[in-house]
Amino acid sequence: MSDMNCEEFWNTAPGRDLDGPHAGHLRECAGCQAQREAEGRLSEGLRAMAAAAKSVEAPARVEFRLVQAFRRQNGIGADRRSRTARQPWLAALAWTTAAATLAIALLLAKGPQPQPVKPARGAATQYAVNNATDDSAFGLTDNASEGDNDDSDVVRLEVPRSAMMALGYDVNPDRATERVEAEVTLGADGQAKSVRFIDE
Amino acid sequence: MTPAARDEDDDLLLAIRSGDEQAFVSLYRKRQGSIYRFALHMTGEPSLAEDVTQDVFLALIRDEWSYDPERGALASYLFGIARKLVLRSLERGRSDVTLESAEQPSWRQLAVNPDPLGDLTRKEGIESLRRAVLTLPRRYREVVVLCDLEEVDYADAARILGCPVGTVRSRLHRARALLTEKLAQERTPRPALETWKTVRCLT
Repeated sequence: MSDMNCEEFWNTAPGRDLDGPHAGHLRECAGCQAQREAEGRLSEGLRAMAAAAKSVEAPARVEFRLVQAFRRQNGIGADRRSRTARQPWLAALAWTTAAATLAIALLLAKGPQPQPVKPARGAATQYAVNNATDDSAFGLTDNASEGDNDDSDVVRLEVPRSAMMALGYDVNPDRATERVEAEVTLGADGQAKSVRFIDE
Repeated sequence: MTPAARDEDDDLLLAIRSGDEQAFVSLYRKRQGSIYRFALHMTGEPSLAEDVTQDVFLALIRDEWSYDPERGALASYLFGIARKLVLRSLERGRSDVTLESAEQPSWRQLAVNPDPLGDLTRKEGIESLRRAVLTLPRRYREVVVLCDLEEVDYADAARILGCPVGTVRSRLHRARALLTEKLAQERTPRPALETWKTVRCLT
């Protein structure tokens, strides 16, 4: 006959393998036996639930934003500006270049209106921005055609290779911080409509 | 958590503090999954889980919660921040659902239904279990998510929750009892007599 009552049993019960007094109580108490068996099956279910969720991860855009935040926090990217500030001749050169660019832009503005850049076909893959409730900010569309570009402009910029992960590309983690050229199509409302990576 | 994994995390953190971006990316990739899943299991909201994950690592970048290796592993520290953020957002959104009989789980259902747990390892069983976990009161839900789903050991869970190991054990036991009751209710839906209220007596 076990001296242990139900409360003592549950307050001190070890994990999977029961010692003498606990095993003794379980043999004599049908209620605790049923409860123990139920816990075992529940644990199996929880293990299955954990296994099913094992591959669930934060969307890739979180990493992208955090890397940006990390760079801001550590002043990465500001080096060039600070070097310019330290070397006055570099600043003078930059101002001269800017002035020349502005003059050319003003001359061009008097001529025909500039046409939007027509993205090259073939080599690169184009994605359209998906505003649906999908987890990823960008979704693949098969028909992000030039017809959509009637009232749009294309802006060319550099983004970290990790941004490609948000679009489902396999990116070598070692190269995630490298920069890659991309063309972003902006609609008449200024919203990004599609992204094309030039250097995949 | 093994001492080696702990040392590796601490080394990565040192490199992060010196501005090593690759170290940050490595640590993020190593730890983001469990933090995201913890927040997801706690809230049931992918967008909230995403925000929490982002805020946890932002806090790490900015060293807002000053990590002290003497007080526990980095993984526990990250879970601790995630927990605070989850609780904060749950309080804001009041999306916490509690069981009516949360404090007094009953095992009587087991006698009524010969197989209240069915096969919880199948897809529908897992889905029922996921719903049941979400309906647990917060203090029970967090121990189940940490200990049963993310396999955090009791000592680390106690550090994360700021309570003794014994409390983790008892909450876990109570949580499992509540889960079983919840699953039994789902599979044999019937109104509990004690929830009926007399409106008017006709005789």
